[in-house]
Amino acid sequence: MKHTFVASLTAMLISVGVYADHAVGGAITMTRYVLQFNELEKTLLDAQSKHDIPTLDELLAPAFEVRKSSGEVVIRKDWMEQPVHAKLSDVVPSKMVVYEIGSYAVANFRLAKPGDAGGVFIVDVWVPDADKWRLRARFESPAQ
Amino acid sequence: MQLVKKSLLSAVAVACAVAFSSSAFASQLRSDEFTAYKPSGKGFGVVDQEATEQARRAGSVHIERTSSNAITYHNGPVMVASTTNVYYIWYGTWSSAAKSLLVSFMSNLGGSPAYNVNTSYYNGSKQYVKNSVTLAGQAVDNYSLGKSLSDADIATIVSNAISAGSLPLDTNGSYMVLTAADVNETSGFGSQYCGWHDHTTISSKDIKYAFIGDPTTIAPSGCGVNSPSPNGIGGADAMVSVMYHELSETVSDPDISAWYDRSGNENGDKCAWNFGKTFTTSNGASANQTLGGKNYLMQQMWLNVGSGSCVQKY
Repeated sequence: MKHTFVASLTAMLISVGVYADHAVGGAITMTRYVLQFNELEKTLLDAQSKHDIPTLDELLAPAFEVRKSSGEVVIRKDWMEQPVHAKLSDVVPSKMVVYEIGSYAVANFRLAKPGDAGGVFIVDVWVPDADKWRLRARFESPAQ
Repeated sequence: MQLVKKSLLSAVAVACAVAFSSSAFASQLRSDEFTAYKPSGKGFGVVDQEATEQARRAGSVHIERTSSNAITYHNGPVMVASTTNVYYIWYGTWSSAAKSLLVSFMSNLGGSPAYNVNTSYYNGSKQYVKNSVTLAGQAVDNYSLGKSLSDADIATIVSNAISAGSLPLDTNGSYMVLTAADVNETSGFGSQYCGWHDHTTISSKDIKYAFIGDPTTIAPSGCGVNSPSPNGIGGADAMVSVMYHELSETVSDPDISAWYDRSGNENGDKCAWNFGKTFTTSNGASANQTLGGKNYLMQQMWLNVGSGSCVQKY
């Protein structure tokens, strides 16, 4: 049941995200959430690259997990301890889209070096926890 | 089982390391200290090839690069007439209270210390934006294109209002399509943006227009619906700040070719969701401006004086 929900949510978000990428030709007022979660994702990325465990611990919900398009699941503890994080130091999030779904915020974006067409496409589910946000789940797939 | 998991993780770790290593990015677009950006309409700047090449050819510090945060002029038109005409198109069902509030807001914005910030922008002939706004007309559209609108639909709604004679054809106007809370703009309303401005050609004239939606349903937090809000109408109160943002960008950068910074940010973008000092209204809401006797919470605007800054008034 849980897996079905996650799969449905992912499919929905990806389909909506692709649609949303056909944005306007003029100039927009970004939502407050786009600005806010862009900064949060940068903070998370910075903590990953520095292997800053206290900050990661604060940003990640207790049941945090990463699900990859390959089907692999990486649990919180393993993800925090991954030794490759220093390689992420100059990767930046782009094409940020954030959906308000009840009290949750679902961010999707591409993670790559500036100017690179590849990288990974990410869907993050953030949940409110008192006066801050914590990352509950991440869905990750190669960006085309 | 644990071993398999560890092995998998190791493989993924190596894969990630390769994916993000510098060698994997050898074919990326060249991006350096000379790279210039312009607004993309998608919330991030796109490379302005012409400006970038000019900067590279100059090979040294360009005047626009003296301050990396500065907003600079890119030779396009600026709206410098004695007043800027604003036209509302009420799309969908609106309460009289919300309409009254937004009419009052626009009727009192011109001449205010807040809008005066825009008088720091000028065209190539050093003609400046004037601190004057006229709400010159209103039209009603009863869901003529349904409740799910594309970007092109917004332009069509403007064109239809003009061709029907509901609004005049005015190159010195900003046509604002204001959509009700049950209307979605499908290119990213609420998930990427709260509003946008653009220009198009109608009857051979360059027409400036904007979309601003009531975000109550789709993005109450992301688009600033507060409770309480200064005038007790959360959606309309939230729209005020976005309308100020879009109108300020329209007059300073009507064709997306005049005033913006190296990241593609226009004057409104540089201060988006930055309100500065606020006060508490009698109903407990936060506000920072008073226009025509009503309180509003409006973002600050980029003042194009000196190295520039976000300010509430000028």
